[in-house]
Amino acid sequence: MFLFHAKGTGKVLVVDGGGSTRAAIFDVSMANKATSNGWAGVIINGCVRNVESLKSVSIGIKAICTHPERGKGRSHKKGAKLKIAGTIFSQGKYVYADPVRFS
Amino acid sequence: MLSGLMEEIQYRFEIMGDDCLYYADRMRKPLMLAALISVILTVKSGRESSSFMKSKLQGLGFLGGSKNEMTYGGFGGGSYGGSSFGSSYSPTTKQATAALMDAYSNVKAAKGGQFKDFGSTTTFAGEMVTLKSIEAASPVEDALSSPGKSRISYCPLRLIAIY
Repeated sequence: MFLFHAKGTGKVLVVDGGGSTRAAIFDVSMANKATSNGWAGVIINGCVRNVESLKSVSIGIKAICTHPERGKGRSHKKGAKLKIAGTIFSQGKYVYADPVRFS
Repeated sequence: MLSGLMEEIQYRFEIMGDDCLYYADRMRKPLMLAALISVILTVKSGRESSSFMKSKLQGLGFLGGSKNEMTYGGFGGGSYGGSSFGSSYSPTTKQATAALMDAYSNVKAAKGGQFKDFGSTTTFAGEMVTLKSIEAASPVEDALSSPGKSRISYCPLRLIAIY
């Protein structure tokens, strides 16, 4: 009651998949969910699939490779301090991403 | 009989009136104090949330600066623990991460040449939510099913909420 909610800015999900190229951990259904829930982008240290459909998704997606199979594992750790590409990513801090374009 | 009753009622009302005045005198000070405190809290929360929003928006380049220029406001005393992906650009792109690296010494950049872009948006920024899940897709799906927008709530009428 009498509370006003200001719409904040989107968050970025950083997933450490251990750099594995044996299974994909992100696909187009997740991308659509992320879009509807207001996420700004995802950074995946692992593989993605449905790459052709991902081109039309409006959030930012960064990943290292592609793989057609969906990862079937279950073990995970939320809010962990991740070490990806020689940098520590910790929850609550901010990340800024730019295009990786070489041409 | 009737007049006696009327007198009795009048007398009772007078006593009640006196009691009210007595309590009002006694309660005036604490009530005023409480009202003052709530006004101060209301103003404070409003100012905090507005400045917080502003810095957040500025940090993401939505506010301030010209249309194409990204400005970086300080989040909590300029504590940038995140990383940026320095890379090469087409000549028309504003080099946002490069500007960030120049402006702040405590920004860490991730090693280049590792990540590729898959979405249609290639420039993005925001608060991080981290997850470690090796070859497991369902935890990622669960994480993305939760709201990805930070929400800022404030109560401009805390005065009423207190009472």
